[in-house]
Amino acid sequence: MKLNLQTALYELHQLEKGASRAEDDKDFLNGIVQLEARAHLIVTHTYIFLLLSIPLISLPMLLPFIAYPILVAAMAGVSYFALLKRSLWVLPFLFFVAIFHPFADRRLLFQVGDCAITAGMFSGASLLLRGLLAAQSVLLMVKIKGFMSICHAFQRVGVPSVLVVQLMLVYRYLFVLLEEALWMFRARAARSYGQKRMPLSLWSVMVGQLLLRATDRATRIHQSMLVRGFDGHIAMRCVGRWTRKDTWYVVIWSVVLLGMRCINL
Amino acid sequence: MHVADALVSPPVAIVGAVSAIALLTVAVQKLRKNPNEAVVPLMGVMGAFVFAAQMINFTIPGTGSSGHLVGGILLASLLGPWAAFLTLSSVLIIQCLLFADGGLMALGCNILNMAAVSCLVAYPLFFKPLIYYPSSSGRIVGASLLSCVLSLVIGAFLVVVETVASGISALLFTDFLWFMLPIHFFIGIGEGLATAAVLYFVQRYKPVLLVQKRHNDEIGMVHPATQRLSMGKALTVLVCITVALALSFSFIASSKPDGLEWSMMKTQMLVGQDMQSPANTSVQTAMQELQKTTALLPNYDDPYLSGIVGGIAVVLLTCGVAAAIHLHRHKKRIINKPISHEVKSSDGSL
Repeated sequence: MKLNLQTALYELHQLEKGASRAEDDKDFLNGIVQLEARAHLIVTHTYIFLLLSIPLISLPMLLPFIAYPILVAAMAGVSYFALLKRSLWVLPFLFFVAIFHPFADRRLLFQVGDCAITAGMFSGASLLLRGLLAAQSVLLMVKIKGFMSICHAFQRVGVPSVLVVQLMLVYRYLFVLLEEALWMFRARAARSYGQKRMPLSLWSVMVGQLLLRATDRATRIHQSMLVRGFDGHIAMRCVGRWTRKDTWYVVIWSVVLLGMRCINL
Repeated sequence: MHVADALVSPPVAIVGAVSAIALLTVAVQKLRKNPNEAVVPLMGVMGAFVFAAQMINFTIPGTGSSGHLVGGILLASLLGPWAAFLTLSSVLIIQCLLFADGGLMALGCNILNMAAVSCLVAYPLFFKPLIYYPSSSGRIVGASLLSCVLSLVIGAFLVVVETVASGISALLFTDFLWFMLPIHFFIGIGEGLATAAVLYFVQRYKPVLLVQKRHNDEIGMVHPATQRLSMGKALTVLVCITVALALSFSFIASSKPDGLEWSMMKTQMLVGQDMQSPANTSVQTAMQELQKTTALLPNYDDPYLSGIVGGIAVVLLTCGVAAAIHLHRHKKRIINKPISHEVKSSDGSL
């Protein structure tokens, strides 16, 4: 539990740090980071859409799509292995669905030595792979541009400002509340003589306390914001304009991805 | 229950996204029309609270496993259904973007399965009619359990529909349901208990946070107890629940033998006797004939219909038993009531 909270907090801090460092980096190789968030949003959506449009049985057609996250991660200076590790979180439920494929479809496709490869094995593996790749592409987009830039891109593509402000507020409060929860958990751990499990009765008090602290703090913050002229919009510094580079990035990736989808290598 | 991108096809993802966008637009318009000063700061922080609370697990007694809060009913109790829907949707978007928990293309489906079902279906239909503040702990637990279980079961049902419609699942629709619904039923119990625990805490220490309590205070309702569930409303809720449960679980009512029948048949086969053979004793035959004549739905020819009829019959039977107990207690109370020997004078003094 403590680990969960610490990991989440650490990941959030890393994300913020990584995104702000990347924004300030003017290195040529990191030119991909300087692109507008909307360009990344469009390319990521195109990638996932084309990935999902491939029939389950066509595992070979899926393989070229592995190139996208590897290539973009390399261009943005992001560790692909860290990305892979984080994307593994999606596996449990996918595995639960994929595990039945080999039993349901036993059509023989080919044989490797004594081992028969069936259509079910292919579709199961394809399901796992497309899940991993889709998750990697989303994580990569947020890792490169940062959460706030993506919210800004949402606003620019027409998402209502109420929802965007809500997303930003939740994200800002997350740091505060995770730290608060971590302090409470530390205090409890220090007084529980190594007892790790938390019964429901104690859990309700802990979470209830967290809720009361959170609402008190929210009210204070909201009042301060109102005093400073908050009118329902969060002002952000302009994080870039759509340039010719963005157009080229979107066009090139769209053509490449369409090619990978249509041409069976 | 977060659906990953790999589990939906593009057409299903688009339908889910369009439906979610339509609901989000309505939610945004509702909030713009009725801007509530008290709700605005709460929405952001409650989203973060649900996010943080989901990482704090409690132990489920006797199982060795743990559970956590999902938050739909809790959010709706504190913010109202539409604000809660918007808040839970924002939590789902953040989970998708930051932790890849649920896919980007499947975001619409996830918003429908979790946020819409819990805030816009389970809360107004099952939770709100059953609850008033201040409530007893039993009422809070009952209402939370019921609404959380139903929201998770309906959500799991939608997950199965989306996955099967996408042609992803290798399992048949009913087989997949058989895997999904029972596990989510138990998860719903865990979530219901967690929601009840937090709601009881809030009612005790800061009731003004509860949306119904705020509403009662605004309209100046002095006796919230008068808001108690009427018999008509209770029956409507009960019928809705019965139909939902019957539809969800009627696939279990199969024409195939149940576990006990199956094991009995196997045992009979092992000892060389077929259960259906004419070698059965005359007592058995007579009992079978009796059962056929008394059974309302002999042989469960249509498992869906029999599931619904069976469910309604159980509810009616339970209502009957409850009414009988109530009448019995009422009579007992009248009999045991001490006779007052105090005689009032004409001017009211003793």
